[in-house]
Amino acid sequence: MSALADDWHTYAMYVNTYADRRQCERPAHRGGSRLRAYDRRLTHRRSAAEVREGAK
Amino acid sequence: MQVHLNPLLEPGNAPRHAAAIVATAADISGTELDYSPESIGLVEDIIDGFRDEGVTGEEMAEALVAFGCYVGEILTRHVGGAWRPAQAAHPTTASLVVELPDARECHPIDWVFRRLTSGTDISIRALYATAAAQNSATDEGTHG
Repeated sequence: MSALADDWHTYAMYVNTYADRRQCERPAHRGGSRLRAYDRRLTHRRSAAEVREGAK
Repeated sequence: MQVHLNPLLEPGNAPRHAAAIVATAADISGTELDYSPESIGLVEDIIDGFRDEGVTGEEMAEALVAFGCYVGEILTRHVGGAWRPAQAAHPTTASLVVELPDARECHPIDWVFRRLTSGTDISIRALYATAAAQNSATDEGTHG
């Protein structure tokens, strides 16, 4: 297995660790519309790239 | 939590993630990220905006990883070194690091996450400057 085969499992743990820590530090509330816009745009770019790859 | 990146988070793909966030930052924030060390301040401003909105870790993965790749690209372009997998996977460190010419490891993806977590207590600019200065000092010691 490559060193990075489970990189996203590792990364999910990493992100959740930060999420847990932050929830301890700050009151939880909904937000992040700007970040969601970033993620949506990145997703859109990824989808477009996949379509281009598939067309080749 | 499901996190999907394409291309995968591998050393050879970090520049593509950086390029994606450059285009995205231009579209959404109207921010020109030109891979200069000075542009790290713009990244900090964007991250601080996320923090002010109270985002959670569940929401932050993809864009923040990409911003970390961008900061790492500034390191490789201006200081030198290369992306490589972290020596050992650990839940509190990112799986990619930049190895500087003097063999020190930098963790630009972690820097971005820490900025979101701790705000101005963590200065990505200062972390970059420290990496650049120490590497420069090593070069002088080696070549001068």
